[in-house]
Amino acid sequence: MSIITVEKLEHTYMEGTPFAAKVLHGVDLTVEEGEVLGIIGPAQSGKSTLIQYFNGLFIPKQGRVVVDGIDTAAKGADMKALRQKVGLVFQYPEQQLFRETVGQDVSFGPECLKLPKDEVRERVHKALRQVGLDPEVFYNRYVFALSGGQKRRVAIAGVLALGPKVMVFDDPTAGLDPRGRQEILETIVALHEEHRLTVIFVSNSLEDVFRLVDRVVVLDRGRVAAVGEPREVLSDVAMLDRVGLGRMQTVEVLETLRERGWDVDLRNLGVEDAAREIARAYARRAGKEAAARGTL
Amino acid sequence: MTFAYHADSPDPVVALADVSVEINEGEFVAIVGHNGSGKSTLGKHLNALLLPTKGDVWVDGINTKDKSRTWDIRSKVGMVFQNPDNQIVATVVEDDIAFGAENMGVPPAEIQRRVDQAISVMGLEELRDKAPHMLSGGQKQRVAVAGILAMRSKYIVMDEPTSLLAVKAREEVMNCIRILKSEGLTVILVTHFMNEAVEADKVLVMEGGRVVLQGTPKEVFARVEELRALSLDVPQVTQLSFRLKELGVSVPPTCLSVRELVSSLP
Repeated sequence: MSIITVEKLEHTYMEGTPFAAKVLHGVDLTVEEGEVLGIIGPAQSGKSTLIQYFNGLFIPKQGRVVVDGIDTAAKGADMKALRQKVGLVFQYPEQQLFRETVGQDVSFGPECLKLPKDEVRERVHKALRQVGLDPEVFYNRYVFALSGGQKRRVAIAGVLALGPKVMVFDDPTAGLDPRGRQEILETIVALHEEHRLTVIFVSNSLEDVFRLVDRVVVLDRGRVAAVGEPREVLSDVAMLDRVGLGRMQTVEVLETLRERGWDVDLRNLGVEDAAREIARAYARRAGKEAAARGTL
Repeated sequence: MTFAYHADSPDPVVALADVSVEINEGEFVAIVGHNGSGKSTLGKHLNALLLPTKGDVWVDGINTKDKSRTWDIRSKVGMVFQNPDNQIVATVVEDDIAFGAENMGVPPAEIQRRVDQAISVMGLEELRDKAPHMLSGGQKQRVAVAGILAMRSKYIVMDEPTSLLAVKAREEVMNCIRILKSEGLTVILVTHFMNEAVEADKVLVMEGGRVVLQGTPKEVFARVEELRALSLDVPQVTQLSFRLKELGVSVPPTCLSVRELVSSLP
């Protein structure tokens, strides 16, 4: 069942001025409940604009966005409910931390919902556990004393404390070191697998997208250029070239070998799959060569 | 050398412990490691932004502790920082590039010559009259490097110059490093992207304030298990060649580029 439906969505910045720039040109897209959906595309392809429609930061003027039964452009649409359903984690979310301690910062959202004190506390504890930070250790920690990856997870906990069904991450690993990146990716996997959240993952890293998502959407200058399983989409080298996206190194190796006449399938994108595919083709070629030599 | 932040306080934070490193003229050296590993702290010692708590740092035979020579060292060793927005000083690209040389008291005609040359080396001709704050991240970093070239610095330390940039802009900065190397400059790149270290002449891997691995990229990336234990990335193509070798395919076990791997296959 789809939890978000986008139909013929258009978006123009600074509409009605000489600077008007159309950035979404009739986007159609569905997000299924419980899936991890990746959104990729080069700079200026409309990724960050699109996701702001998912929780009603933008309201469609042309086209339609329906989130869990709420038509976001309808008169009297319950925007408060919408924003609780869909949590948006912006780029560099740690820049939005503003309170002294971890517990205080994560409490801000639930406090704004005017929940009873006990429930606020309970939600904050749960949210911290969801991002892999032990509340016993971190609740009273000062925010400024945390590492980059920890700060980012606190910011994510702040969004989770609102109790969303869908979490949207805009390039969540940007600027982190490899360890911090690993922590964030593991957090996202856990949110999906253990807590059954629907996840929308916008990323610049094809490898991360391949590892994490069930389906991937490719945006190209405001249009959907491809949608499907990661192994199909990320091995479609003609499409990737057209859009101006690079490729995973495994695909590059398989592609070069195929051009050289090797019988290899580009859809083996994972390192292990690619290694097995190449080893198989290698053995077969060696066998043929031996046979050819035998007949001479 | 050893360096501790708050060295005089009751609880100093040791950021570098007993580090010995030699960088040769004309080398491209990559210093990799996690945040907190000491890699940026080491970079900041190379132009006397920080001075060792114990031990010494020598640049071209000058001890960085010699206060009378601090400015000599800083004009020899240029720095490019992580956030391109923090290093813009002028409103026009050309003026921004000239800023460092002007401060050194270089005569105006000579500055113009150097700026023109830096612009041509960095391929910034079309941007010379633009406002720096309107440029893309990769372009801003190239402007910062051009400013160092105009100072005639021989050594350039780049402290995570790509970590805030998008993929394409990262490639732009890597290209810029290739150009600097071909011009005979010494480049020290501090980064946590392992794939940027692949092209270096020498890689230093830091962890907990120490240099834990050092050598050519080939030597360092061959230690796949140790790098994994430090949770540092190994490029996909290196993992692939490692695995192919295990599966009995005759390839070098540590290929660093796609080209290297495919050219070793029939």
